[in-house]
Amino acid sequence: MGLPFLPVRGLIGTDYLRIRPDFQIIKNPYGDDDLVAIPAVKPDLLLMHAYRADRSGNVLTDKRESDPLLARAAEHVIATAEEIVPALEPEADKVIIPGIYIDAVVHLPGGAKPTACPGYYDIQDEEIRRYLQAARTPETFARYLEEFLA
Amino acid sequence: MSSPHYTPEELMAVLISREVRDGERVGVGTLSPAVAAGCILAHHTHAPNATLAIWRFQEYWPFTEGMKEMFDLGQRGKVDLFFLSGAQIDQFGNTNLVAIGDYDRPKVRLPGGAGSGTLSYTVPRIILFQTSHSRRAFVEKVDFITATNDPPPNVYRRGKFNRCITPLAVLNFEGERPVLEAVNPGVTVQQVVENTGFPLVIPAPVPETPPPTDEELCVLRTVVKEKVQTVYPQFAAAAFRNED
Repeated sequence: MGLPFLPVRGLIGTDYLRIRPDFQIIKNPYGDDDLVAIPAVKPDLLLMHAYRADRSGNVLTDKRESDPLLARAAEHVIATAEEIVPALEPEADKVIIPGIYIDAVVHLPGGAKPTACPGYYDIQDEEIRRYLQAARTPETFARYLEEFLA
Repeated sequence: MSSPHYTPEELMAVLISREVRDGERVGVGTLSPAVAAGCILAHHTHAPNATLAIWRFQEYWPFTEGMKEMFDLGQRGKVDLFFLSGAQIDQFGNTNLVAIGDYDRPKVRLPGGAGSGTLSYTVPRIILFQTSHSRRAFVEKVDFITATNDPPPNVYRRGKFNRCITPLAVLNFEGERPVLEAVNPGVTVQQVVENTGFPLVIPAPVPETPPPTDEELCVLRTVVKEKVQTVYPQFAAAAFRNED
């Protein structure tokens, strides 16, 4: 939306306002209640994984994910996809993010592993457990990353 | 005392389901398999016209743009019922989903509140739940207030948190002091008191929650289990008894 902040209802009386001095209480200019001004989150880059992408840069993702919102918020968007097709068709329970929001598409089958990509592959429980173990210290994590990318 | 013919998770799901009224719009957030099970149970028994929005369930996700839509719908006051939990819940009914210990040097960093801090103001009926009833879970004062039960004046708020459902009991945070509203079947008042880290107002006598009915357990172990295991396979394998 390009705005510096949005007002929200809530949060006043919670500790969020203690740890986030940038969340400011403002008066509702059209009513009597207090609101909280939340500064815009502006990611420099969104990396997202899609089911499919087409030659116009449109990408197909899941209706349960927040990718469309993230794609509209980020300065640049790189979408990896399981498949590249000539032209995407609408599908039940999936949404198409228009190519105007996408800077680059990369054909990367398996790009969501070790998490799931529904319809392509399931979550790899064993690999997630290995990751959790490795992530306990910087040293074991560095070794994990080397193996994972090898 | 004979052991019950249902699991603690099944009991939680049944108690959750009884909170859902027909025709309501109900929101269920992340990592709440017992709540998801309860709402689906309600949908297949007394609340066929409820609209369920359960995070991660394709069949129960009436949106096309992710979690933002549920939060926006809630901010507009159009979610009738929402379920909230916390790693800690205190005597005031405040919840903590952010950090155990000091925020800057936490003993445990928790997942974060997501919609807790906003939905709690605009959803008219909020039911708290706690999957383990212990002194670690029910504390005098939470380490971090993620959702407050008592916001300052001049803030838009629909109401106080309603009851809190646990494997042992039903607590109520609507009044000045927390009340032991009911004990679950086979649980003593003493057990609840020993596992709660703050004093409770104890009516005399304390009512006992009606146990799960055969119908509730049957629907839970068939239709509901089948749907829950698509999103929470490990929970479904451990939580539901076989229907025999």
